[in-house]
Amino acid sequence: MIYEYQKKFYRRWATVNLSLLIAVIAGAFLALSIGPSRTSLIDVLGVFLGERTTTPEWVSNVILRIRLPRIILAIVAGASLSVSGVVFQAVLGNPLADPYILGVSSGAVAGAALVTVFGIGKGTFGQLVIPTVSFVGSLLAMILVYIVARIGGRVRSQTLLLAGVIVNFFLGAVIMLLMSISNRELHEIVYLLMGNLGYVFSERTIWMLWIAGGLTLLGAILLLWRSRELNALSLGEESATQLGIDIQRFRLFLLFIVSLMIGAAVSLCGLIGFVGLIVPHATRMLSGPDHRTLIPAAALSGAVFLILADTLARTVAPIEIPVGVVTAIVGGPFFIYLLRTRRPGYI
Amino acid sequence: MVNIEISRLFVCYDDYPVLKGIDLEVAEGEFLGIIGPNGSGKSTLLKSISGIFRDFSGEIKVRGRSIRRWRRRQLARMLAVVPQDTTISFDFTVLEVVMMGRSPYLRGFQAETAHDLDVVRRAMEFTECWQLRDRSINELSGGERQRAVIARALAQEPHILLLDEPTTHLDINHQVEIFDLLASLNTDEGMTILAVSHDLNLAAAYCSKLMLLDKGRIHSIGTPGEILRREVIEDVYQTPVIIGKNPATGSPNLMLMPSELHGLVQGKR
Repeated sequence: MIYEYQKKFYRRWATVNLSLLIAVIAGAFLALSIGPSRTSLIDVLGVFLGERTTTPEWVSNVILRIRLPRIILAIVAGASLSVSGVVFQAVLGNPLADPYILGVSSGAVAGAALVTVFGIGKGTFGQLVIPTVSFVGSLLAMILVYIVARIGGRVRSQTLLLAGVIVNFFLGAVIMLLMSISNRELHEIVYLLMGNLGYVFSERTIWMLWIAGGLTLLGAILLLWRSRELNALSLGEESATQLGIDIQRFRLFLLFIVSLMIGAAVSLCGLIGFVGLIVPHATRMLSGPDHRTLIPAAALSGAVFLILADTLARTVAPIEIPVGVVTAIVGGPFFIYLLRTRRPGYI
Repeated sequence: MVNIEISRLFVCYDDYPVLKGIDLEVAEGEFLGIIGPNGSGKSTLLKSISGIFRDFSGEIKVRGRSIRRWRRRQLARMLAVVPQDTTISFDFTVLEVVMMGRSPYLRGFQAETAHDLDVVRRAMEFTECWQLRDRSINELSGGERQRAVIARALAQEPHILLLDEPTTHLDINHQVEIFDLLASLNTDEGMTILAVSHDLNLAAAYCSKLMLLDKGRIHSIGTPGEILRREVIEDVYQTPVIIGKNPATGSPNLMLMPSELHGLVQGKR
């Protein structure tokens, strides 16, 4: 009996996560080989297998210096946004929660824009200020949404979405104010608002990518460690409390981790919408709602989703379109579909 | 042994007093029914005992230790709650939901042991939801879902079980089923049970003791026969009633009537 139950759990865990891992690797190789410069999968393999003598130098430059950081950024941002979505949905006990819709991503952008406009974000030290203030911005936005949406210990969809609209309006106004008083920094803010993975890393700034990646990985592992409590929390605050969880402390822990992940991702790639909504939903169909499987699975499928969306954004038109546009075009209708089809019990 | 000891319990919601001085002792193995009109403070009392509210004045002791000094994980192994609202937003299977009852015993990255599985299985067989284990909790009927939530509480291996209106929204057959379940937990396992109930007759038929709350105070406490008396019920609920006897159990049974007949009954007095 124990054997049967655990075999079932581990088999599902391994099947779901290994196939998603393979999808991430395959997607990454595909994306590495596609772009305005004509390269093939053979070139990509050549670069990675060390046969640099047979591949021209410009090819390895394009693949390693231009495309690879971008794809790693897609993996980091996709994973962090979709895992944040999972955590939001558990904390609020509501499957419609997502950092973009609730204005938490806007909080991070407002933070980054503030630093940009006042010109603090220069130099090695300054580059650390942007993600830090983004983190603070997303944390504040999250607390605001939470206070507005929570009535009598429960978060209803109506109040939740309304809270998101209000926080988004408010932060939109803050961002516009910052734009109107900015000069040369305007295009940097517009870039953040559009959601873009084209951040150009130089030799001196590539460490920011590693920090964002490290924070995302660390966050995901910490969340996986507490995944049993996340399961209990998704039953509601009262049930979680009586299952022995100190809700106040656990919620703070979760909000802190998620803000860190969002701040790290958004300060590099701006507002990429709906990833935290679409990906967790699709992933639950594969993995079920158990967070022990769902967290790694959502991280991996977020990565695949954003790699593919970005490849589309780079190649579908003669000019590059922001990946945030692609995800919003897919995500908007999906959100409406969820809103219309979920059972009446929890909408 | 005294399992729960409450003295001078006061609870306020934003300056509005809900409980105004409750003193209560619940002995081990007791089956206490908490009854009273809406707003009399029944749910608040339950939430205070289960440690969900910590904003009270007075003292609540569970097994001799103040509720404020219990660590939540430890308390969850001693005392389990079946909440009133059992809606679940995600499609967990019944087995997954009941397995969550083991979370006070498990740490992060720790797999369930054979013992955990065994406890869960026994809880589910006892509540007759083992055959539902692979179904989604959201596909179940009201009665089945309530049994699953009770199984989750039993998986915590508690000594004390608190239930908040376990039979509202259920059909009568399921109401009886749930109370039968509680009665056998109480007599066979010696579990201490506190159940808030709207249904005075069910409470009277099953509970060893009833506590009648009125406007945040204990109006009276005693055996069902002592509490379900006409003058007591009419005093609290402000509506004329007739008290008969359940011919099967011998427990008092309360009957209601349309307002136009109220005068008739009054006249007969």
